[in-house]
Amino acid sequence: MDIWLFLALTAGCSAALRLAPRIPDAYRVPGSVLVGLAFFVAAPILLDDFRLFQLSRAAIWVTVAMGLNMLTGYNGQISLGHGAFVLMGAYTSAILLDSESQLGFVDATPWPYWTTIIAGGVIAGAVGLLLGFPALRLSGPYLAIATLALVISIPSMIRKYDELTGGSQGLFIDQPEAPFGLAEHLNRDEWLYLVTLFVAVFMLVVAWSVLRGPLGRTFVAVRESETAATAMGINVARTKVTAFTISAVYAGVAGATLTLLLGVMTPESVDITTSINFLTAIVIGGLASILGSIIGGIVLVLLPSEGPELVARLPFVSEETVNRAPGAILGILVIAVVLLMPYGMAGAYHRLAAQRPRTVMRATRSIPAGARSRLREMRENIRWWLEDLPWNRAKAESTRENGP
Amino acid sequence: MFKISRTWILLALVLVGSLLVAACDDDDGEGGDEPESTTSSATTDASGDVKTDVGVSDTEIKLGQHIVQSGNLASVYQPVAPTLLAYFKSVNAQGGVCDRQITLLVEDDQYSPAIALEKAKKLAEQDEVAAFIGNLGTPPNTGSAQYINEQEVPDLFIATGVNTFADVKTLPYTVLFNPDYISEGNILADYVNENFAGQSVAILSQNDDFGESGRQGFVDTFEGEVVAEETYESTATEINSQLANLKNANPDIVYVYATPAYTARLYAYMKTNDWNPQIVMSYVNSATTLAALVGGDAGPAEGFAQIAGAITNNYVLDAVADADDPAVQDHAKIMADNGGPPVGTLTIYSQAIAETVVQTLEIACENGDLTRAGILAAAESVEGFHPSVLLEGIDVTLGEDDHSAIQSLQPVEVQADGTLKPLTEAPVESTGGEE
Repeated sequence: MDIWLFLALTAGCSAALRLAPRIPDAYRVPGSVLVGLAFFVAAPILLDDFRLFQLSRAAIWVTVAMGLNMLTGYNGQISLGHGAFVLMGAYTSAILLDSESQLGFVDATPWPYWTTIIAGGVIAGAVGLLLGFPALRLSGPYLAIATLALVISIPSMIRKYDELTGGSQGLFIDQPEAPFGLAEHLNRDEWLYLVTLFVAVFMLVVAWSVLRGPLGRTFVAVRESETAATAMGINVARTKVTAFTISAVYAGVAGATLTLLLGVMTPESVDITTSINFLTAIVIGGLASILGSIIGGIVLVLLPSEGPELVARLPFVSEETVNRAPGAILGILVIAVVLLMPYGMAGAYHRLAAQRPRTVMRATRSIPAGARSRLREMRENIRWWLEDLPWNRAKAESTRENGP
Repeated sequence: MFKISRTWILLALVLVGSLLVAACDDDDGEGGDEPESTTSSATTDASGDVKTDVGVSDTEIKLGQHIVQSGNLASVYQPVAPTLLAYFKSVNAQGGVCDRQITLLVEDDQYSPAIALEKAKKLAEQDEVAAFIGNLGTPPNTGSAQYINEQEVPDLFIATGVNTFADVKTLPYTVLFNPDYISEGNILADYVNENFAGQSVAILSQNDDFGESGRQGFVDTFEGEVVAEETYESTATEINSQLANLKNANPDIVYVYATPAYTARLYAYMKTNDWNPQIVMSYVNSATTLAALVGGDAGPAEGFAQIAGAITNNYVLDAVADADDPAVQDHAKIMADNGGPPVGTLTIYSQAIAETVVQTLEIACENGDLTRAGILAAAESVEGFHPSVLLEGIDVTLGEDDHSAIQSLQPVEVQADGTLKPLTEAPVESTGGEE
């Protein structure tokens, strides 16, 4: 199946359950989540191996984006350096999985691969904890700059300590195969996809339960106003360090999974552009939103590889121009999202979901009543959308308050 | 009470809508579903006696390449793929190879190992290319080579000189095009041993595979005294402290295994500090490129004046110095007639790869075997082939145990007028190396 068809079906069915009339409200969200998940679990049957590999990479970036979203979206700290934590997790896994053939002094047998995912998270989290304390003193752009230094220095350090890391040649590992006789039914790409999917879903569930609990509320309180949070008895410093650590763990886990997926880890595997793009991804997807992290991760993988082809279908755009500048597509998308959907794609979807069931129901009921009322509904919807644009919102609010 | 619920109408609408969206996308979609011929045994072509399996039809030979097309390095390596495309276009216009047209599919790997692997998967599984050619750069090849070898797809003439890629035991399907860096280190050290005996050497190298290989090759063969060694990161913005350390050691010769941008910095430092050691440097520093960087605003002529006397290696014809050479003029005509890029060092180099690819396919055709295995065997049987744009006396010779296409280099001295004076009568073959 084509990847776009697959994604359109997934999003369409999931959204249909969320938006359709006559569904009890309690079933809407769980229903749409389960349908979406069902599609992704069924992907090995529906898609070919190359597309599965792309989706596996997307699942890994979703995990990173979720961690970064907890830090930036929920806690208000900006990091451009999460690529460094991804590399730390990735190299932890690569070193533990390495057999003695490559590293002279680590002559241990390779660890079971799933334990290295945990180890990757632990190591990256520990470094995140250590870095969280100096990060306390910095905020906003200063923290962003400091974290940028991290992602610039890590690849050099990896090259420097080449007895341990294999230098710029990288470390090669044996990729895991499906266990328990499943190998007959699942090839390696399919199995790795399921592993990365499981890791991503698990990390998303953890994020969901953390963010709706007391800790998540503390994150948001600190983001909104540190003074007010302190007044309510929240330890601001501890909250910020916790957020930094948790998000580093996410990046580390994702990195370790990336090693399994690629089968080789080199210092260039996560470069500075990728690191900055993690932030781009959550801005496009939606800050402070789990769905936003998912959308962001998928966009980050598919847009640079498939975007040029897609855009080249538009009239007046030559394929050559687009191929030279896949970054421009991402840039235009960021501008469009920031202008038209200030809370990202997920924000727009949530607002739609909050408004829609009623209007959709009215619209469908009016179909037999004739075209005129349907047109009125459509007009109403468009007006509602226009009023919600940032430059119109202020005007609308003042009209509402002061009368026309 | 039990009518067809509106829920289902809506759901159906959404489904139809998404199908319509996807339908517009059909043309690239279905290719990958069922790779009919991947596993099937080689079939014999109806029109001739040529065996084929994947990526070769009666009318087409499909090749793939992943190369950086966007990002920082794209500006440097941009001409490579268009040159290959233009050259194949000219070959196709004359009837192609084996009565088949050559199609080259190019994918952007953004110089990243992870993306290179993804693109290699796309080319091998979805587009089903017969072989990869000219995958460029060390990091992308590190990412994709293992996978390509597992799939048993020929990975021909990759554009890097790191000789771990030429190891037939670990990567039996990968063939290196560039002279490898260790061999070059050997050749330069031999030359220094002979002509500058007893002089002291300081070494500046880039801290990665490239610099380390070149340094290793030199140190292994060099017989004199190394008084200082410094490295820099490929991402460094300035290297003045390293250069100061080298100057303090007061060497007679500075051996530079660096990329042109950093070699140019060395020259700038030498100029401001009035320091004039003999420079011995890698072929990576093509004189034209380096002169343009060193000359800066003053122009390449000033640059050539500064770098004159430097000793380096060469193996391709130069776009400026050899502009009158018939091969270069032919090359310029091919590029102009087929929509290729303006002639430069990289386009000449790329055409050397393209010519070797065509030669390989022609051998495969003569053998009657255009399967993936057949193409690899053909590449291994290339012997003494001289791509027109390489220097006289530099030939491509490969074998079952020899996956390094070019092994000899011509030591040259850069002249102030931009020409390169050969220092030996004929190109020198590497004496060291791993075999």
